[in-house]
Amino acid sequence: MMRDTILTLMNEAAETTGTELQPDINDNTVLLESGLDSLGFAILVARLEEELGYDPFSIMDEPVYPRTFGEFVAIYERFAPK
Amino acid sequence: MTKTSFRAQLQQSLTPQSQLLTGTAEMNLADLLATTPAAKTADIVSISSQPALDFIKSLLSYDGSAAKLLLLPATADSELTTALQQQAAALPAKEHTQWLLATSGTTGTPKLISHSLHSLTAQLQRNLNKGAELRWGLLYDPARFAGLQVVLQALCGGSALVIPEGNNLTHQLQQLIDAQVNALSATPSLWRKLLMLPGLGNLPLRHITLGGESTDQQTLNALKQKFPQAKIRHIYASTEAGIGFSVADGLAGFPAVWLDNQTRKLSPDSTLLLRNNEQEQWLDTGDLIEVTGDRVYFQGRLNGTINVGGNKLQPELIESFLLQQNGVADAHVYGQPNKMMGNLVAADVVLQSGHSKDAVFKAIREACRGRFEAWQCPALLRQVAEIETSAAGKKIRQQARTTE
Repeated sequence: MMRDTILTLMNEAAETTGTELQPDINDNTVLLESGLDSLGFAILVARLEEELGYDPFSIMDEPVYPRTFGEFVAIYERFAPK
Repeated sequence: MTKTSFRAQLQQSLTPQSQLLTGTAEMNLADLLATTPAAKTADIVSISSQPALDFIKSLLSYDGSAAKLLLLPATADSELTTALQQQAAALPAKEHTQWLLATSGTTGTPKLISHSLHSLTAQLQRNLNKGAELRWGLLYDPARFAGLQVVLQALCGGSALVIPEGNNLTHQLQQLIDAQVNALSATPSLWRKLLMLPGLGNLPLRHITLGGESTDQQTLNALKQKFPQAKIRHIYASTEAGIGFSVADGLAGFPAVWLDNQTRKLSPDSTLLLRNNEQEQWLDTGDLIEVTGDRVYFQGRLNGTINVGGNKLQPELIESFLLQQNGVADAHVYGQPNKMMGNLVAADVVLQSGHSKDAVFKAIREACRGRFEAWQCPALLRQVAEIETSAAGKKIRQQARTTE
């Protein structure tokens, strides 16, 4: 569910920034190699906040920098409002 | 210096059409003049723009007898009124009655600008034969610069003036239709709203004026198509400078030869400078302009810039592009603060009826990508029912946040 939402919006962010996503994105995909650039990630996080109602990176006490797609999804799942 | 009072000007410009219609009241200007005596000498007189009839009566009574007329827009609350009254008291006296108008204050506290009746009426059309054929509608607040221009043009030009009641645009339009208004002035944002109302075509418009914001070609074209017989002009005016100039060739922007270095010129910041004749100095409008071939186009406000990761963008550039897209009725582009990039470009879009959001947004993304750099493309697209406008009828522009 969360994974699908994130993938859909990753595709949208790629479309907006005119980049191509890697064909097979999985938990081990390194974010920096996913195809999105820094603008793409800024858009992704802003769009996810619109869709989900929260931005985990502004809620977290200690900054966490996800390295892979799996870690990125896990952060959103962890901070989802209960 | 004003030689002729407001009352005297109106007396000289009476025609059989000189009427004032407000909601249900209807009154000949000659009767209004006869029943509104001149007031005794006063210092500062605060005049609220509502009710409209009292507003006009007060102008008649106090021009020539008061030192300062403080024109208060309908939106002025008691706090703002007090602040403006203090500003008014601090202004140095002049020989003539000062008409004090507040700037629209899209950013920050409104500032009072001192005008004279002479400066406000210097550029009015005075042909009473032509004026007697016109019935002006007022959609602006008459205490604001654009609204006062409509009031003065109608009353000093021998025309009828129709002031609709209420805040609902559909109801206001119906009152204008009932009164057979044939001359109307509005901001481009307001015109786009009017163009979405089914009743607009029932107005027998002959004079169409756009002002207060930069006018885009699409809105001009839409009005030309709807009212092929009408004379359409867009006005560039600044409350600070008094009236600016008007463009009547149906094209956005204005001819480059008008940058004559006598009355208008380009500043080192690429903003438009206007010569203020009363104060004999150059005034920086803060409006960015760009010369393309033989035309000058407005590019937005110097301080309205959106900063995306250090790159700067004028929202109007994207806005005018969005307005050209199929299915888009109106658009508002602004910077949304973002931790990673400083700002992201966000766009609120009003769809034309019968168009689906998904299809239009997909087409917008594709079209923007083909035309602009990635950082300039709207990162956040939102469908809204309407674009919010300020009391002055302009899109509300937040002061853009910068990353510096």
